[in-house]
Amino acid sequence: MPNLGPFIVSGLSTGALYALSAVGLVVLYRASGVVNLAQGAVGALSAIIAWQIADSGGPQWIGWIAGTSAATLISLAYGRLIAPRLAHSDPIVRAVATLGLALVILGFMDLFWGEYGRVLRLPTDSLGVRILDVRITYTRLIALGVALGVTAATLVFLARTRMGLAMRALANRREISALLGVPILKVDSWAWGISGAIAGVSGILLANLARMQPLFLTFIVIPAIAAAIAGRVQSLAVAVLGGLAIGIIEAIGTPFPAIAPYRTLTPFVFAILALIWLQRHGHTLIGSGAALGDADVRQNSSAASARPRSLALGLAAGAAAAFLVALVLPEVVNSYWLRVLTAATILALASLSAGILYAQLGMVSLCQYALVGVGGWATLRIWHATHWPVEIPVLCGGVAAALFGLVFGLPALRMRGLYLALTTLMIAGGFQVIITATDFPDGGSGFIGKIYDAPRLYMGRPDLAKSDAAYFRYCVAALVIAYLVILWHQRSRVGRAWAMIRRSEACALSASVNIVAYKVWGFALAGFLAGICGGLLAALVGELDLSSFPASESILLFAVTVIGGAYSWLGPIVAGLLLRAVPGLLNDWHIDGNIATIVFGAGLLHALITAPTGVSGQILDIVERIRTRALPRREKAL
Amino acid sequence: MIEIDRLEVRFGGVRALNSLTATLDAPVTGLIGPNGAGKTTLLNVLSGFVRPTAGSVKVDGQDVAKLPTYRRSAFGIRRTFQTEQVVLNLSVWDNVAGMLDHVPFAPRQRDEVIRSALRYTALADRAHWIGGALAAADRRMVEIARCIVGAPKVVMMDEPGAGLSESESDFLRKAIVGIPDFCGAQVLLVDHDVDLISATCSKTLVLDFGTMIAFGPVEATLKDPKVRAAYLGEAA
Repeated sequence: MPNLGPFIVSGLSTGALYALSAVGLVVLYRASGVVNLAQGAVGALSAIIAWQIADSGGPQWIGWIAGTSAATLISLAYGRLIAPRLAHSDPIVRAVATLGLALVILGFMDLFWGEYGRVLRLPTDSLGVRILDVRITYTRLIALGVALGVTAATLVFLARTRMGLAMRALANRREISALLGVPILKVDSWAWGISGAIAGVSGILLANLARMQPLFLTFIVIPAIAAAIAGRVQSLAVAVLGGLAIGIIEAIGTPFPAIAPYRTLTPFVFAILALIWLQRHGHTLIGSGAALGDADVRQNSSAASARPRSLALGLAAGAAAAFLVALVLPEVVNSYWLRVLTAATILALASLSAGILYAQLGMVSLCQYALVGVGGWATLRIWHATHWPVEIPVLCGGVAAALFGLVFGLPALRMRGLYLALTTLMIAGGFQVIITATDFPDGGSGFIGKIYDAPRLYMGRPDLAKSDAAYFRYCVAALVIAYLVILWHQRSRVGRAWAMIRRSEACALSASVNIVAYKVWGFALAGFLAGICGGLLAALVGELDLSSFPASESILLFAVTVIGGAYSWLGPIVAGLLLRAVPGLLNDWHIDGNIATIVFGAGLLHALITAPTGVSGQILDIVERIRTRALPRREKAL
Repeated sequence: MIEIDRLEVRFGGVRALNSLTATLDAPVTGLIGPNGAGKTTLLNVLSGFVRPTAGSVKVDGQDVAKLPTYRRSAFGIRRTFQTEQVVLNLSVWDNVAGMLDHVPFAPRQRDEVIRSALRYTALADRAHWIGGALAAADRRMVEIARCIVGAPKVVMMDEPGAGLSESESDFLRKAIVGIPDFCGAQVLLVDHDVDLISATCSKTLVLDFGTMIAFGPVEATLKDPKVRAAYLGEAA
């Protein structure tokens, strides 16, 4: 048994910072009803500004002040300018919108600073005291002190000041508090400002204690969310204890080589256990049961949609269009663009998978790209182990992804509201940990084949489609089949049950719909599609790259799905093009690809606020308008 | 037949229903009382959204507590909501079909059953319209159509008359009165509109602060001085 003392001490201080972030999350959620998933990104920005100022020779303290002020200002700006536009949306939408902010900040940091490991030094690093035979730097003591101090101050602030009272009032009933004269905007701004400042301070300290890297710091929000979930995003005390516990458990794993690489899974495991406990003990859950019902009122407000569309005609047109694309495109584009378009077609499947959950069931899954990774890896390994025809490993990959998603998503699927979005974000983070820890075994033969020094083995393509052109057509065919499967679901009892679940839980229950079963089926189907997408990607290149499945890709996938427009058939295709063809274009034009991340983040915010039907909705609206103008007589006849 | 036996529902310290015992056997029973009297709570107990703290409710001899919430519609306990819950992006037809999907039912008669329910609610000509395109009164009718397909036993309506025009209200009355003959179900009607209750119900149960203060034929019950005191605000 190694001496755990030093690890407990270091875990305590990291945990204190998780607790601090969790306090920021809870304070903001209680006042404004927003779970701020950009908390980590805001902290990262604060840290990198502090680093930049110190690095260019400025006094360190100016860096800290500048970083924290920047974090406060950004948070305040979002809370003042963007959050009020979403104040009447569902809690899920409000939480997901902050991902747009996170993407913008992340893209901005990558653009100017890049993902290099840096070191942020603080003057307190070299000084320390000895407690229990362990040397503790002042930085760690400060982290612990700041965390506990800020939490205590927040508690006093909420309990004793007028502003605190107003915040507690808002937490209960927004509209009624407004009627009673609580200045909502002012209180909101305070909450956003406080949580921004907390994010800024914890960002700088975490950058020093853990790692100074934008992506890492952005996802530091995950342990904070896990801690906050344990207290139902309501209880500050539970959030603090949860944060400390996560920090300590994570650190205790360090001296054990078997556990060490997986110890960053702690927050995820912690959150899952907390969810199961909450569910067993029948606590009220965050958010209402009603999901994204608003969007379809807006979507279907035009009287034109009362007119039935001919299914046969639509199917024929779609099939003809797909056939034409498959036939013509490979002949007219060069081989680079053919590969890009093939990848875009395959990724349309992934977007379709995120889109059916969002549009049909009103559920937000932030782990679909991780499931793509699961499916791709399973496909690769099954192919290398068996050399069966490609279709079988790809289908197995789909099943593997569906099962993986289900096993970890099930506790959240049984609960309402935000929990699924938060849990799936953690699944995405957890998958990143697992592939890093296991080094993504690939390239060798057999089921678990890792090759280090010999040349890698590549997976073959389907016998039907060896050439690039044929494989493009193959993928278009796969996409068409996926669309047909979804269409069949939509028009059957499953689709009706999904629609009722999305309308409201009461609506579904009053029609005897087994809500959990239908949610599970939707989630499994979406996981299957994501897995197929992974398998086809693997066959396109012959291998998969470990680094291409970070948690941020899952968020990006969700963002482009919403931007593309999850409610229509065109949406996933637009999303696939955004994900692959846009970076290709930027590459052609010699523009930094990180611009795309910023644009997608802003696009997500735009889509959630003003255009719930996304790009495809706007395109189809224009088509519809042209058609009504061209066919005035037919309109009159109806 | 609905047999309510010493039913009690408590929310923390508040008694929403207090030892309620009654046997409802009329084809259309009214359920009236001032705000907060426990009318909607009673409906919620029947449809399983609220668990009683004590007592039991039997529908046609079946103890409903033994049925999981999502099985109750299939068993035959149907309801409409105070704020209607029509699915806005499904057609009227699919809204009704969605109910039949989960009710054990001979699939061959399915289309005919939906069609006759839509004819009954005067929605037959708009079967392909999406829910979002309907007027509020028509959405109420869609909810009623959902309730009367596939052998319902009890149809509960929570303030169906709120916000309807006079002609719409007339049609609603006819629709409510006809339900027992149309599909054999018993109707339980919650409403504030005493005219609607007198026009449709043969018996009415009056609740005040979770306690039953009168139950019997509508005419007599509404004249009961206790009812007039509690509900119509007259001095007893």
